[in-house]
Parts: sequence; C-alpha cells; structure tokens
Amino acid sequence: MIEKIENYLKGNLNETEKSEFEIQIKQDAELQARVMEYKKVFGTLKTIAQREKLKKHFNNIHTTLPKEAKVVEMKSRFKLTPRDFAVAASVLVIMTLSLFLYFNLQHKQQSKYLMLKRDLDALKNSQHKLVQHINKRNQVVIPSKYGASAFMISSKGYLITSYHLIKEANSISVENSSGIILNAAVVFSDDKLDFSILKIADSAYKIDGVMPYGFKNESADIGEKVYTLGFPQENIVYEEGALSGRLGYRGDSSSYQISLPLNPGNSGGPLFDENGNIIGMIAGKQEGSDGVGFAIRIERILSSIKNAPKSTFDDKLNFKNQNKLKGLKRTKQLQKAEPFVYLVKVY
Amino acid sequence: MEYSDSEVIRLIRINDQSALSFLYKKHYGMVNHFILNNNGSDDDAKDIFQEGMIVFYEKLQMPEFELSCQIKTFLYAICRRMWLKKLIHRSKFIGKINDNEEIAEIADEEISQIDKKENDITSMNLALNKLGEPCTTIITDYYIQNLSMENICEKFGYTNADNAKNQKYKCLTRLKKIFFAGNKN
Repeated sequence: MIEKIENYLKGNLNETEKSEFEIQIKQDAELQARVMEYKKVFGTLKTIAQREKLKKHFNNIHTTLPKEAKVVEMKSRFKLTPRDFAVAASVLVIMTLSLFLYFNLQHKQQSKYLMLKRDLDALKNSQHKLVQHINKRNQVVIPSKYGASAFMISSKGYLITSYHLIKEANSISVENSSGIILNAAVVFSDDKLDFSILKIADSAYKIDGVMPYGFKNESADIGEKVYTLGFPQENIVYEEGALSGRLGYRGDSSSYQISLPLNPGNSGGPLFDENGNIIGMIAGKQEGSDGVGFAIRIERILSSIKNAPKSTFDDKLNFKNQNKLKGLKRTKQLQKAEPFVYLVKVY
Repeated sequence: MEYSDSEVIRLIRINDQSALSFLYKKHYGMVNHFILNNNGSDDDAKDIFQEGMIVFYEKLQMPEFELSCQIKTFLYAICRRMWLKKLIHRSKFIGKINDNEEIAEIADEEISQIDKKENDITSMNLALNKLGEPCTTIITDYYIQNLSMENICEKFGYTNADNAKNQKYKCLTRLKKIFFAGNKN
C-alpha cells in the first residue's frame, strides 16, 4: 500500500489508476490521513536532499571566494585575525578620512593626511547614526575603540603615542608582545605636534630590563635607512625603508617624510635609524600613496617635553639613555627593542 | 557579470547555477561582517549565510513568492534572526546587536513558515537517527543521496530489487511513526 501511495504522490500512476485512487481516498478518511502523512514525510526528505545538494554547491563557491569578499572587522573584544587585514585597513582608512574631511575645520582644507589609527568596531554606532548626529550638533562623534602603537621613552614607565589616537579616550591600556596588559593614563599632550605621553598606572608594572635604544637629538639625513616596529595588527610587525624627505606633510618642518609601508595601527610607533636610535614617532601616511609616510622628529618631541610645565611629570625625565643597539644585527636589535613597543587599546 | 535583483531571481527560478554563485559572492561579505561583529566566527558566518541562502532559494521555489525589498536586505534580515536565535541558544546573547545594514521586517507568516520548516527538518533528522541500521542508511541513501535501488541492493547484499524495496517500505513505515511521534511538540 505504501508503494501505491508513493507512486501516487510521485505522479507515477496513469490517469485511470490516479482517479481510482483519488476516489478511494475520498471515501476512506484513514487512508486520506495516511496519504497526507506520507506526503509530509516525502516532502521533508526531499527538502533535506535538496539542501544537501545546495550545501555542496555553496561549499564549492565558498572556496572560490576572493579574500576581499570577506571583510574582517574587529570584534568588540578585540580579536583580529591577521589575514584580510589589508582590506580592513583600507576600509577603515576611507571611513576615517570621511569623518575627518567632514569636520576638521582648523586643519588643512583638503586634508589628505590620514591619521593612522585603527577603528575597531567603527560601525558600532552605525555610520548612518553618526552622520545624523554630526549634522545635528556639528561635533565629531568618534567610534569608541582604536588600536595603535606606543613606545617607551623612560624606564620610569612613560610611553609616547599619537595624540589624535587617545584624545577622546575614557580609558587606555597598553600591551607588549609578551602579552602583559597594563593600564595607562595620559600625562601630557601636544596637539600641534600630535603626540601624547602616557604613564603606566598599574601597580603590577615592573620595568623589563633597561631601554636599549637611545634618542638621536639631531637631524637625520635623507637616504638614511630607517625602520619601525608597531601594531598594524595584533602581533608586532617590522617594516623598513628610508628617510625620503626633510619635511613632512605639506612642508611641515617638525616631521620627516619616510618611505615605509605603513598601516593604521602604526601611528605612535618608533622610527629607528640603522643604529637603533630613535629619530621620530610615526604619525601618518599620505592618502593614496602607499609607502609615503610621516614621522614627527624626535628632537621636536623632546623639546616640547622639556618645555612642559614643571608639575607635568612626577619624575625627572632625561633622555640620555645609552644606545645598546649600535652595531648589532637587525634581528638582534629588534629582539632587544621589541619589549618596549606597545599595542595601545583605547576605550 | 553583474545581475540585477530581478534578473537573479528569474535565473535562480530556472536553476541557473551562475546566478546563485553570483549572489553568494556578492553578499557573503556583509553577513560575515555582521557575524564577526556579533560574537561569531568565520565558520559561524559561513553556516548562517548558507542557511540564509537556502531559505531564500526555497522561498523562490514557490512561484507566488514576491520579494518586496532588496535581496540584500532580505538575506540580512533572515541571517540576523538566525544568528540571534543561535546566540540565545548558546547563552551568548549579550543583549545588543551590532547592525551594519538596515533591518527589514519579515512578515509573521513568513517567519512561522520558515520556523515550521526548520522544525520539520530537525524532527526528520532525529527520526532518521532513531531508526537505527539498516533503515537509516537505506532511507538516507535512497531519498537523500538519491542512489538507485540497485546500488542499495549491492550495498546490503539483498538478493533482488524487490527484497530491497520491501525493506525500504518497512523502514518508511517506522520512520513515519517516529517522525510524527516526535513532531507533536
């Protein structure tokens, strides 16, 4: 009987058989119920079969997805996968640019200067809401989470990073590549030069060895080979290049132009010369030009710090560290410098 | 090759494979982005997106179905709801969804249809498992993998096709019983 039901439901009965069976069904309520039940069973099995087929097809398509199809955004708990970062970076850079273009009135009119901060969760308040909010109050509403780099300038627990990065921060934490996370607070900012000094505000803090790099208090030359360490992604990244110009963005005499591959997240990181001296702090890159970046000259930074009001720093900062990296192989220099470069997370 | 929404719908209805492919590649990123921003992984995104695409495909199989919004909006709404359900099921819903697209309202009848179908499928899979061997394999091979009776004959060593067929019907009777017993909920 089931065979007949199945054939009927599949449409395998000829005209006479079919009409006969249908009469039978009409007259027999129990048969009708059974037919309905099998209809459902076969229907569900068919759907399952179709889905298996579809899934196979989809899995095939999935393997052919270009990497760019998957736009990776950072989760609110800051779990960033290293891959697809270039895409996230360019998306973020464009978003940051549009926000800044919208409001930076004091800044250069057509600012093409991209500040290299990373917007984590930039879409947390949806773009739509942001624009509305902006139109209403003419204020910058900045997404609440960023990540970038910082480095130690004094073993008493002082770090330097970008000002634009932390200026809206409610709280800041820093993390180096050994995974230790510490709280930090801003103690000094220079908005013209765009840097801030942070002090580690954590009783768990203990300096991990002596800072191995020195500060070069004189101008560096174009052609000088330079490098940086930073966090354009969650793991520390090394980039190298050369000093390409004595002036920064639009002739800014407080910065250098460097040819170095930079990404959002590199902001605030150290610029080293070949011998491991700090000659600057990474600040930004030129829109649309890969490999054109800018770094604030360290001598300007140090001078600004020295001219800060007396009560700014609890400790006396001198920048006379001895450079222990000179003459060492690059990999060795990096090993020694790495613990003093930090990932900054702003909330 | 760029297709408009109505073109894609027309092509999918006539079973054009490239249209499905196009749709998949076009919208995967949006859902992936959403899932990752809401406590999910890449694997979660793949699963949810594929399930959403399946719902869309199945809807299209009904000729009376008419989409009143963009395909993108529909997919997003479906996937969002599925993900929310999953998060709640995993006890991982933190009370807030981060949206990156506008949310379309799905009609209540649509939702109940979708849920009902999902329930049926879950019940069926459970029932299939409860069948035990050889029924689970016979039914799965014949109805889901669409293997032929001869194939199944060979596999189980039945002496002839009629034998296999009878076995199949015995299994079906049991399956129906278990399915409806379980589906009462």
